[in-house]
Amino acid sequence: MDEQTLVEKLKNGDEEAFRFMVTTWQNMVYNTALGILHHAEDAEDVAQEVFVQVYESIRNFKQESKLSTWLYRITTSKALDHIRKKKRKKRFAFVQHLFGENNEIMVQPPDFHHPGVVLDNKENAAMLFSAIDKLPDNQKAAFVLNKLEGLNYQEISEVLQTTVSAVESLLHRAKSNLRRTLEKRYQVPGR
Amino acid sequence: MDNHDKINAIMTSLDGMEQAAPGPFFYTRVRARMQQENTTALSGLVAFFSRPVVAVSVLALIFLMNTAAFLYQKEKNGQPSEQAEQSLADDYNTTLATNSYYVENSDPQ
Repeated sequence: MDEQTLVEKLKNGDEEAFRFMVTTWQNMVYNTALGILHHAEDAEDVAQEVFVQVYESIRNFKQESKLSTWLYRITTSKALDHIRKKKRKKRFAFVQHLFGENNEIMVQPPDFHHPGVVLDNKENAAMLFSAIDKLPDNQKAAFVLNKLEGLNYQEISEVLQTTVSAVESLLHRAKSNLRRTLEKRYQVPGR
Repeated sequence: MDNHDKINAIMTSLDGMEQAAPGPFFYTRVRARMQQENTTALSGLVAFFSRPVVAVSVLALIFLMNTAAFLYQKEKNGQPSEQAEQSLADDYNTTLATNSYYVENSDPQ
């Protein structure tokens, strides 16, 4: 089924077309969300939200970009929103904890292990994901789209609705920041 | 391995990774979520209109709109009909009371 036909069918509320879209792009959406959120359940939650939103707002899709680009855009924006909400909740919980209203022990989340990483790299990848967590939102999105989804600069610029040179700059800064974080946090004795 | 190599190894650790996939029956869960959201939206709407303040306000608004519509209709229909009655009375060279008498004594069928 070509994209034009698929979009037309989706706009007409065709359930088979919706099923086709979900099964075709579910891995892409889930993997992107997982790369940003580093939490399987949250990623599943966001992936579901993405498809619900697509179903509800497909009539507003003007086909100025590819459907997959639109899906990437919704996914990154929802995943980043999810992180912001979580941070707000954490801050609130911390304040409650300070004032003794909440006696829950605040625990650091365990290292994130992406299921797609080869076994030999698991430990290093967990360190990298921990550093990715510290990146600013737009750098994080650009890095994940590039590294995890293999998107080129042009495709990332379409998803993030920016220029190719801005993407180049984002990725360059992301890599520098990651190196700096890793150097600070994982100083290994050597030389 | 020195610091530089270690950092390089970490930076390239995602190379060749595979795409992660959600659990099985993902589509079914998406549909279930859509249904749940529809139900939640509907029950939210019902709950909103069930609140006493909202319910009374809506009823008062409906009552006011009905009253306004009734008064407007009465005013609109009342004046021309009086004029019509008067002109009819003038045409037949009689009074309105005669018309009333005629209406009162007319055959109901």
